[in-house]
Amino acid sequence: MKTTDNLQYVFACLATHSYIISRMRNNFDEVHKHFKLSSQDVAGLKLFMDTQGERLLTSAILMEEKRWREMLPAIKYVAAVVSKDELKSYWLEYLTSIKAVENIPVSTLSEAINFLYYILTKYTTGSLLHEIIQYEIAKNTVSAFDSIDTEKTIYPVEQLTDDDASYRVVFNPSYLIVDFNLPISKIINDLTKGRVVDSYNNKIENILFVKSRVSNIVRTISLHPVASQLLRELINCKNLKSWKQRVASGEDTYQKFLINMMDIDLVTIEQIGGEHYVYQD
Amino acid sequence: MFIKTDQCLGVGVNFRNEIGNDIIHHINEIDFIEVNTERFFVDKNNLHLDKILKKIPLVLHGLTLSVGADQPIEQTYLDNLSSTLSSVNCAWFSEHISMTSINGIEVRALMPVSFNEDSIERIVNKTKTIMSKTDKNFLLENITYYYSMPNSKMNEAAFITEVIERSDCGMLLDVNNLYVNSINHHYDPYDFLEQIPKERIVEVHLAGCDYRYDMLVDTHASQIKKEVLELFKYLCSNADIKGVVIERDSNLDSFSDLIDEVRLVRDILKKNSRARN
Ligand SMILES: [Fe+2]
Repeated sequence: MKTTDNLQYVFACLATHSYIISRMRNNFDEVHKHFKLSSQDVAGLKLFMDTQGERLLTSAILMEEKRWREMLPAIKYVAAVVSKDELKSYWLEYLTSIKAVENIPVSTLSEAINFLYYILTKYTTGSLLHEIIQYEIAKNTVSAFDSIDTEKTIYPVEQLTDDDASYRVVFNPSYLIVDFNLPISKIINDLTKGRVVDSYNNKIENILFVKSRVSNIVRTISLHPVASQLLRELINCKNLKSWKQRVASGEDTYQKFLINMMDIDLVTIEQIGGEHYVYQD
Repeated sequence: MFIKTDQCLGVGVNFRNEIGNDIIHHINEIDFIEVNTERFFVDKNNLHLDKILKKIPLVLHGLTLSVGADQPIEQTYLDNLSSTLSSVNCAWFSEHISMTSINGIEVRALMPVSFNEDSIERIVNKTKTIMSKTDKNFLLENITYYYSMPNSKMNEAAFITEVIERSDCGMLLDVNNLYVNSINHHYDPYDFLEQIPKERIVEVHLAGCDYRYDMLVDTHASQIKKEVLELFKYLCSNADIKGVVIERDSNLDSFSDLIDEVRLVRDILKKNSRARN
């Protein structure tokens, strides 16, 4: 059974939490709130804090500033709307919300997602900022998904036989469909062009976020209600026949839709029990 | 076992997604590419990188081995490393003499270790484990540190020398890190160079540094300082360098500035190289 914390572990925790170092510099006893140390390590750490505490603090702050700089591109739309001072004060608040013995997020993307969730609670549901934050959470979440399948298995739609029951659709797992209460694609488009508009009329918009397994780029697609319905049914169907039975539409629409979904690398079609058709670009 | 190689790769840069396209466009100006080892653990289909690797040689540079941590190497790390080393064609691979994670805490940065016998033994054992998995040369790199860990019993140069020689591995000397440490810890970098086993230096890192909060910090965000270039020049005539990487992670207004640095460094390497004489 562990009786005391290893000194390297204590340093790793301190190096990633500047606020704990600051508190310890004001009151060394703070250390006992977070760590269990041998009396020898307590003495060593006390001496260290007296002689090099400021350097440890500076290096921890430098690391946090680096995390901040690296995260900014992943929250660029929020950063375009919220003032820098306000955002930075939320960041400092967020840093102190991470417990001394808690891991900091392991990547820039997971940091961005955590921080966005942290600030989401500061804005009213359905407000402009709330929607923008949700958009960035979704985009970063999809971006953080692992690229699992590197082989592109596509059955050309034109070569499908009439037997729809013998084909099933396989989804690229790196996607999300999110409903927004405001016209989010117009908002993002405005922000991209440097236009900041205060208010938008309510409009439900469904956005598909999908990460290409080839380029690793996340595409966002605003779904027309018909496409939205076709897609939601496609997710649940066991083969193309059952999909077509669930959403009555023309053969032309089915085909165009499947081609589009394959173009954006959301789906591939497999022949059930048959050989995969490997499509070469 | 450390094996001396004849071929000098020249001057390369570190790969980042943001500059993948620029590297491809200037591929004739860049002699080789350094890529984070861990990228091959997760990102198996990077279009830019695939194109680059068809044109120029590769060296791997790890970040998360945490060779100085008081805990064994994780088996998943070893498995990933072994499969990467057998699937990609790299000239050599390297890691930092540091601690990046311990008991589940990920630091996301390079932390110093205590300069003492315990650390040496720990690092040597892990380095030998890593080297037993491959016949590629493995190099260890000196890091920047802003504070000295408690229980340090020797100076940095003596510590690094023991680690490298007892591990029987190669060295990646980061000249910018050396310069930054020499300023922050008040020692002579040329004395440092006299102490370390220069015959084991395979690769050199160069980068920019800047003052922040009264300390010199290896920001990788500016041009290489002239003092660093001077040190590099001295090193060229005192070691048999097999490759130089310019590390630049941010503040790159124009990629051609990086290419200018590559040309400048290549020129220094050619004019001062010990191997040439
Ligand atoms: Fe380096």
